[in-house]
Amino acid sequence: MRKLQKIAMVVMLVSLVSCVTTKHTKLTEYPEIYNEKPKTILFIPPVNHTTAANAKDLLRATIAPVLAEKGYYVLPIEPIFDFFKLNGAYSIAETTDKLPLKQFSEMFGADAVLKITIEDWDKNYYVVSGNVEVELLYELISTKSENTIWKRKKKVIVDTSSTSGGGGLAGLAANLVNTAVATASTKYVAVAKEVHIQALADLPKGYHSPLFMKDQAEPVWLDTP
Amino acid sequence: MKTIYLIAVMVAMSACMPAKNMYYWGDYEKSYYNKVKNPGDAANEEHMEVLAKIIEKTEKSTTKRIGPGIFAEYGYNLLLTGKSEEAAAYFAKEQKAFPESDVIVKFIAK
Repeated sequence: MRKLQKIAMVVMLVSLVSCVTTKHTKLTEYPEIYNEKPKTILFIPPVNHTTAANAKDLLRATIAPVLAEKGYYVLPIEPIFDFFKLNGAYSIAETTDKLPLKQFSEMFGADAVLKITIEDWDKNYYVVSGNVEVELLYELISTKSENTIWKRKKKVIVDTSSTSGGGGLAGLAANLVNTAVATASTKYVAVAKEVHIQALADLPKGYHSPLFMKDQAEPVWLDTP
Repeated sequence: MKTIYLIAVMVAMSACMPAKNMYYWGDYEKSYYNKVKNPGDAANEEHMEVLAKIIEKTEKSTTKRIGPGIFAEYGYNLLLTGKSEEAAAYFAKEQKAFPESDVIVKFIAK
């Protein structure tokens, strides 16, 4: 019986340690986000450095569920994007380096702004199966301190023929069979969602997550540029 | 004794598993993308149906929860079609479910 107890302890320790083996933790890499604890995030129209015309729309249509599942309140995208368009500010992130952060805070109640820069969007994106390769920069900017409180440059490779990977692809692939919506379009949506899931993988959890303020010790896998 | 064993197994199983979804999203991304890509009455209606279905399912269910912004987006679209009274009810639901939405909901409702 003693032996069993020991084995149990070892199993427990190994599984705990297996997730915490790196020096880079969420707390050491992103201390400011733990200080500020932003609740609400404003997603602004991305900056597109590529010729992929659909990229912005795809990222916009898929971001809210991914960020919300991280525990954040995503400010409703549709009314805000309508407002940007109506006021000639749809390209605001592309035309200025100095975002009106104070106004975002006062008008929308935004604690932080998520700005995505599309650096590379695979030309082979339009093939039906195979790998899709995109490179993006995600920046979370505080409207209070005006600092970047989390940042991630990520090259994401999505295997579009695979049914695994974050669940997003599998779920949407299953829908493919059952709907009349264009096959290709559905696949693009699934890819965009998978891109968000991978890029935001190490974003510290937000207020609504059961892991809020409990994930500081989790490792961060820094990308080699 | 048995408890320790059980805890060990549970920790081992949960250690690196991805978390389950907190909210129910239905076909949200797909119909929203379609609306952005093919603007018009058909896509608008389809997206409203998807939102209505999410609201209905989460209100009936004890396990499925509604995500941030769904009530507000539904209310906003009602407002755009002149149904301001109905819209107000959904804005109130958003504020109740997510108190941090107060500023943005007031902005949208204006």
